[in-house]
Order: sequence, then C-alpha cells, then structure tokens
Amino acid sequence: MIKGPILHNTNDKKDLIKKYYLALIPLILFSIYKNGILLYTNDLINISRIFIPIYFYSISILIGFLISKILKDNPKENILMSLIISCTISINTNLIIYPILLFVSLFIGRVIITKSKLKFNLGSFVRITLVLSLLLNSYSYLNIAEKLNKFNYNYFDIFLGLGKGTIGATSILILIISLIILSTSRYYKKIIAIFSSLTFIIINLIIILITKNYNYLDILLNGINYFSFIFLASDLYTSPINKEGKIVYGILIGLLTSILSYIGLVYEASFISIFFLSLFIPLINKINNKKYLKV
Amino acid sequence: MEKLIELSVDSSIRVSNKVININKPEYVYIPILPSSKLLVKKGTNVKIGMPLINKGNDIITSPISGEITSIKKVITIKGEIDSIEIKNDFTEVTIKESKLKKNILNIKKEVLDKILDLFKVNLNNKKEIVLNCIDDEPYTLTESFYLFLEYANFLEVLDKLSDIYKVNVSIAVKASNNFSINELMNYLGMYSNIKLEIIPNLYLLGNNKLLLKHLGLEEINTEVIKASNFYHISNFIKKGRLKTDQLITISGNNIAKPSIIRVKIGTSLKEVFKNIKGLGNDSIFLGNGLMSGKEIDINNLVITNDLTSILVMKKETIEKAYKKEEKCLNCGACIDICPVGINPLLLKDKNYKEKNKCLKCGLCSYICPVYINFNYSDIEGDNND
Repeated sequence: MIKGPILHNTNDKKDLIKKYYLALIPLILFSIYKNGILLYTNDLINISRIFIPIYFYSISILIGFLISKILKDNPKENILMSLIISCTISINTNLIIYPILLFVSLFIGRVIITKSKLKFNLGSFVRITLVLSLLLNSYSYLNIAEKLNKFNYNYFDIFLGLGKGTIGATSILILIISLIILSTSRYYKKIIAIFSSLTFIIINLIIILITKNYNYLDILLNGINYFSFIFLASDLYTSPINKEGKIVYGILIGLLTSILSYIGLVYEASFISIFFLSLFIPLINKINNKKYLKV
Repeated sequence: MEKLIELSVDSSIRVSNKVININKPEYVYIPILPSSKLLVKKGTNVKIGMPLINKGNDIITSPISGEITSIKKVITIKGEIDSIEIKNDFTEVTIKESKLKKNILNIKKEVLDKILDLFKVNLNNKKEIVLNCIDDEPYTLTESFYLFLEYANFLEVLDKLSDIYKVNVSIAVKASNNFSINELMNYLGMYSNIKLEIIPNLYLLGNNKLLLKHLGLEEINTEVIKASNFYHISNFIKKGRLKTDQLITISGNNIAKPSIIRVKIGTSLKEVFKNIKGLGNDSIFLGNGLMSGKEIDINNLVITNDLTSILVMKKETIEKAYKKEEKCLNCGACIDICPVGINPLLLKDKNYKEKNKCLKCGLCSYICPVYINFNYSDIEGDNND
C-alpha cells in the first residue's frame, strides 16, 4: 500500500553532487593556470610540466572510479572525494607514490567506514596519509616560481590565489564563489564552513594584533584551510546533524586549526583538526536545543 | 516560521471549483466509536438528526432517514471499525428541526455555549477567533470551499459570536484562493469586526498551532475553528441541522472532471464514484492528499469526517514518484524542516519518546535528498490537530 509523500522536493543528492563538481571547476582551472601555464609563459618549466596538475586530477578521477568499481559504490561520490583531495596536495608530490597512496588510503578508509562502527572524515584521513608521498620528494608546497621568489605578490594577489599553497586551493576569491555555489543547495552544511572560517580568521587576527607579527597574514590568506573548511569539514556523512552541533563543530575546527597552524603545521592543520574532531561527532550530535513547537 | 516551505507542485494535477451534490446514497455507514453507547438497534426507523451513538458529550446523529439494517464492519481512512448500516428511504424526514433552529438575532450566550460545546469549541475567556480556511495539502480545496459556499452564513454567525463573546474575528485564507478572497472582500465591508488574514502558500499553515504562531496569537487567548467544523456550527445555529453532510475534494491527474463533492457522512465511496465521470484506467486512489495521505480502496471505504480529499492518480505517476531509498546522507534536512522539532531518523526507535509529537505531515520525507520514507505505521499523528 502506498503511504507517505508522493511529492518530493525538486532537489536531491544528485543536485548536491553536481554543485560540488561545479564548485571545484574554477579552482581546478585556476590551478592549471597558476601551476602550469603561468610558469611556462615565464620560462620556468618546460611544456610537459604544464600537465602535472592535470595529471594529478586525472589520476585521482581514475582512482575514484576504480574504487567505486571494486566496492560497488557510487562512482560520482568517490571521484568527487578523490578530486577534492587532489586539490589539497603539493605540486611537488611524488607522481608515482601519489596514486598508490591515494588508492590504498581511500580504499582502506572507505572499507573501515562502511564495515565498522568507526566514523571519521574520510577526505582528511586520506589527505593526512598523502603527506608521505610528499616526504619522499621534499616537503615543500612551493612551485618553482615561489622557490625562486620570481614574482613579488601583494596581499591582494595572494587573496586572488597567486600565493603559496597546495595545487588547487590557493584562491580565497574562488573559494568564496565555491561556497556560494554550494550554499545554494539546502543539503550543504554551510554553517560548518562559515563558523570554522570565521573562528579561524578571528583567532588569527587576534594573534596578529597581539604579536604584531604580520607573517601570520600568510597563514590567514592561505586558501588551504578555507578549502578544507568548505569541502571537507562540511562532508555530510561525517559531520554533526543538528544546527547547534554544526556550530560547535565549526568553531572547534577553526580553533584547533589555528592552534596547529600557529605551531607550524600550516598545510596540514585543517586536515588534522577535521579528522580528529570528526571522531567525536556522536558526542557533538548530542548538543541539541531545538524547541520549535510544543505539541 | 521561516522553516515552513512552499511545496513544489505538479502542473498535471487538476483541481476544480465545480461542486457536485451526491446526497442520495442507498446506504450510509456510521462508525461506532470504541467505548461509545449505541442508542438504536437493528430494525429501528431513524430520521435525519436522530441520535445514534453517544460517547460522553459527543452525540452522533443520523445523516439520512431510513431503517437500521445491520451492524457491520467497514473500512474508514483510519482503519476498520464496526458501523451502523442505515438503508435510505429517501424521504429526508428530519427530527423536529424547529426545536433546534435558533433565531440568530435573539440567541443567548448560554444557548450558544451549549451549542459550541457540542462542536468542542469554547469561546469563554477568549479574545480572538480564527476561522481556519486553509487546506495544506496541494490540490485540496475542501476547507476553502466550506468558506466559499457558505461565506454569507459564516459571516453572519461570526459577527454574532464576536458580538456576544466580545472577541476579534479573523478569517485565515490561503493567498492562492483568489475566489474566496474576492467573494469575502465584497462582503467584509459590512462586518467591521471581522478581518481577513491572507496566509502565504506555505505548507502546514493549515495546522492550528502553526497558524497561530504565524499570526502571532497566543493559544490561550485564541480559539481556532476549522472551516469544516464551523460549517456544522453555523448550520446548527441557523438551520438547526446537525452533521449530515461534508465536502470532499476529488482531483488528480487521472480524472477528466475533478470536482468538490457534497456527500452524506457515511456514504460508501463505491456509491460516490458511480456518480463521478471520466476516471482514467490504471488509477491509484489516495485519501487525504499527496503529502500525508495514503492509498485507499474506493470499493470498500466509507466517508467519515477524517476524509478530506481523494486524488485519482495515474499509476505511472505514483511509480515515478517512489524513487529508491538510498543510505542516509546525514544531511540533517529532515531535522531542520520538522515543524515540531523532532528527529525523524529516530522515529523507528521504539524508545524514542518524542515520536508521538509527529504530525505525520510528510515534510521529512518530502525534503530527504535520498528519498527515505519516514511514514512509519506505528506513529499516531495528525497534521490537523
């Protein structure tokens, strides 16, 4: 017997996934420009190295697809996850180790989450393990131009995305656009992204004002933290379910990221924070003060 | 209140403002409520308005004149129940209506108190009356039509109530019901104490509590009366007529001529549908709407006050609407949208104490991005309460 609503909201999960892809496209295009075309036109790399960012994105898509086939999972979700992760790596990441590590960590992470009761933020878990592929080369997030200090960028240029950072997560301007795109879906947990970003900004501004050390502006203007707040912290499966929980979770992520950045883990701070705090989601979910209507 | 949403609607579903009277059923079936007292027996001849069943202050009367032929089980929208079967003699004889009929101009407060009590309305110590003429379910115009067809009587009785009880009166009408608004606007000039509240097309504002919240009124000072209930109140006050008939919206995308029907309470749907033309093949019938309703069998169901609409839907539309449920995304949209603030994800949990607050409004399933159907059978709820 038919029961329950026949009508349904016009948006669903597919719509949200589409918006995630749409939000990633400008970041990916800009990263190809910054780490490929810009360097090539300034004679800093040869033509083959233009394709390094494209290689990382392509191999990530392939691995996401492979994992979906093996685990009989939704390919769109797995590809999206690996694509998000690929935006957070360094241009100096080892080209051979990266796909192996991405495959192994993504596969193990997925299996643990589906087969066990342990829930954690998969994207940040994979991203933390990927540091190993960077360590095998040299731990650096600078491209050749940044190593040679070729361009002298001001803070506005850094805001636009020309500063140091991971492959696809340097432009705060594009990240704001991505946040707007994602926020058009009612299912996207924008509260987490907003509260973690605001907490991070406020704490860093306080640190700058107290220490008068303006080098922290580099941390503040580094897009990687905002990228992880927008794309990873708000991951639906491993984030709090109610409004109060989302706010607390966002604030805690912003706080912990600030602390870890302050002690030097600039590029990994947000991932460690998100991974660590995602382990406490069931506890955070208990925060709920909803009292709309007493019936 | 910003949480309430406007539902996305299907333009292929037709509604109509045509009213059909189907008031000569061969038989009617009056459900015998649990722990109620039967006042008649098999073979008794009854008249319209004659008490049949008594439960506390509730007296259920006969909607037709005729003979009680048996006590038999029938199916209503709320389930299977014993009922009194009355065979219609089509004489339409009523009990002495003149005894019940009141002159509205001279009616006294004590008499009104008693009448209103019959319909579970209490206006003592109240400052406001809100006449709720809002249909929440899309493609349903039942409450709106009680107003549309009876506005002159409604205004007259409301005016009297306002005068006697010294209360302000508001008539809440959905913004989309242009026909009711236009008619009322022509008449309201004569009733300065009655104001029209135009309510946005947001789902669930037909719920009395949510409507009060929307209007910024306090529950303790306000009596909200559904138009369907007020129809019986005004009929009793003005014509001395007890509950005999009701309106039902019949619409859908597999019916050529949708309409509003006026039927005797207790009529079987089988009889009703004999008079409805233009039904398509392969239809699925839904009782009480697309959001909170359920599939009904028109060959077995009997009309009661709880039935407000019947949607005749193409089978393929229903099949398309039921998409495969996926694993919960944990997005929290169902919790965010729930108007009573409960967690629909816990409704399956037998120990979840809050589950009885559920209005069964269907919003959680409507909003779910992975098509989870939260309509679990063991929840008792009603979005009109």
